[in-house]
Amino acid sequence: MSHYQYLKDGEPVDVIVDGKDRHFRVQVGGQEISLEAQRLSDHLLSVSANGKQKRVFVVGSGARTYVSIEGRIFVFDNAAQVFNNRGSGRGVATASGAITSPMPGNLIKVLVKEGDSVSEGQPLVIVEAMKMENEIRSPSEGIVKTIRYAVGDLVAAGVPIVELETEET
Amino acid sequence: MFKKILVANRGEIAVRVIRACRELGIPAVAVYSTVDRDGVHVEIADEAVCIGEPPPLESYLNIPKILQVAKDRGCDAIHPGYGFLAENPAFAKACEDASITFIGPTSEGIRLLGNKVESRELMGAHGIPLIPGMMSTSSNNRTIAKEADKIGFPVLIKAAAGGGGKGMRVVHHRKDLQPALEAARRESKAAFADDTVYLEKYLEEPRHVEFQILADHHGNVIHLNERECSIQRRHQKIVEETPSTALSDALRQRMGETAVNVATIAGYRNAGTVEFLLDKDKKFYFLEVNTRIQVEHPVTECTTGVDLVVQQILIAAGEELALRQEDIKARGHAMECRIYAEDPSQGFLPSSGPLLLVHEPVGPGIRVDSGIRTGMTVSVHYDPILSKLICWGENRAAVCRRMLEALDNYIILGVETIIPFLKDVVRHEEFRKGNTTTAFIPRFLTPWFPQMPDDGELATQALAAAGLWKHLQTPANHVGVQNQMPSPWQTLGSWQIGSSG
Repeated sequence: MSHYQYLKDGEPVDVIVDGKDRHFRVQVGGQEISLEAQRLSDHLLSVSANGKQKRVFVVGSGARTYVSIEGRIFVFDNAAQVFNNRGSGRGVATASGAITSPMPGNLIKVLVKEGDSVSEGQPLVIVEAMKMENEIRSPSEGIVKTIRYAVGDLVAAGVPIVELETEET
Repeated sequence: MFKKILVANRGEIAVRVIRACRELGIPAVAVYSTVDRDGVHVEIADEAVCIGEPPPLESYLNIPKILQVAKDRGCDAIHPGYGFLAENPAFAKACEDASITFIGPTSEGIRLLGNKVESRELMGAHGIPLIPGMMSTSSNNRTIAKEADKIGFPVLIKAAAGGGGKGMRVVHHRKDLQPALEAARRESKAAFADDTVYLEKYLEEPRHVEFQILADHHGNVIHLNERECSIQRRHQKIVEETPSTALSDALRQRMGETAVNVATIAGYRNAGTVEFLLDKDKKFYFLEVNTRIQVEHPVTECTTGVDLVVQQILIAAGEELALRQEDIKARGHAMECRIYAEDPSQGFLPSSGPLLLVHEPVGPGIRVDSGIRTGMTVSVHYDPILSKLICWGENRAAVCRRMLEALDNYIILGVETIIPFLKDVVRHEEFRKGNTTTAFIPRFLTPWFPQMPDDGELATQALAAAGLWKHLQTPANHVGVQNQMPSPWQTLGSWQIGSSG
């Protein structure tokens, strides 16, 4: 499973891809799509959904991803690579020090308590999405101020789960 | 025939000319500025020489440097392409003095036809139809005002040395004449070091119809029919086609004969283009002669089967035209779309930067004259033309369909291009009806914004594809057609065989 975040017109959109070979399940901003896809060359994909096939050109330039589909060009800013295959990655911290889940899912484990000191990269909670466990790690050093959800809760994308007190806040 | 030809240009036209040289068995020498080291013209030439820094005056307009390279490399001819030194009489003269053949007319021919007022006078004296207006320039704005009243508003102020719309102003009312004159003089002075202007009657919504001619050194002159070039933005063509939807066979014949007469009167030698304006009443007026190979020459090549660049080289080498007027038989319809690196939603602002991905269309009746490749950078120093997409078909409707499909398959990622705008031109109802006048873009497509049909759905698919693409870059997720082990061919990267990247 891979998890990426892109900015579309300035708004973050989470894209979660699961699968290999030809069959993939992709979640785009919470909407799940089942696809068949094949990489034909470095920048050319053949993507089929519901029996309709499309040729898609994709290229990345570090900060941006360019996609050409049906004669239209989309340019997305690469916000973050949140998870890639390891089922773990960094949580997304908002300016106020709130840690959010990058995708909607089920909170299955809370690994810290309020008042704990945490280091950068330390796992805070585990969110299950698309039958995969994803560790949400601390983006920086700090003290856990509030934990807003409990195990078993459904969390939405972008909603604060843990609030962190960092040096800056 | 020539031993070696230096091509004093860059981009798609240099590529086009180098190919013609090589087909004729003549080695071609490319020249390039320091930013064009990885240019396609540099790649395909037999020899390539760096001639200086990116600013044109230091490289592609550097006459002494280019002549020195020609001498050093043993070139006996120089092809100027279009733009840069193509219509510079001083360059043609410098070539003549150095005993190197300039593939074009004589320096005197360029000078005469380059001066709009002088050529107007000459053609008028021989009975070629002219747009009503002044027959000489004037530095006195009061004299010009009197002339304007005589001609009747609206009038068009034109620079004697003009071209590319510079120093040109349309004036609808008498009170606007003086400030427009001053602006036109300033612009012309800056662009051509010459502030002489004159007036012509301004024709409303004319068509721009030009005739391709070939004139050899043995007195033979033929024309190869017209090109309709009315789809323009900022006085620059972006879509051209042949035949014109406005010409009857009888009118075509009369205009073609007039074009041949113009070339004969001027004593012209070379491939060239005689430009006319055609008004609403199908009356045509001589505009000017372009003494170079034109950007839009491929549409004529597609319908007549004549290689104009090869003809141009043969003529310059002194050969007699093998083609007679009766040999010119046009078949089908051809259209060209110029692919500019410009943002059509930002008033055609040039767009520069790296070309992250270039994928060009191929197929029956599709020709791409291109000067780009994936990985190249579009420089701010030069004209933003990247390539030209030319389609041929049995009739105009078939060409429009083919063009739309080809534009859909022309993928350029990294810089903005006018491809989405071109699609809107070609699919426009008025364009389809053949109502192509110079007023088309201002009237129907200004201002222009990209259409967003079904945006949400397509954007979702694009985001899914972005994620998939990244996901598939991890080898474990990318199980190939045969097996998961990458073969040496796959790991060789850019040497990959069969890659369509």
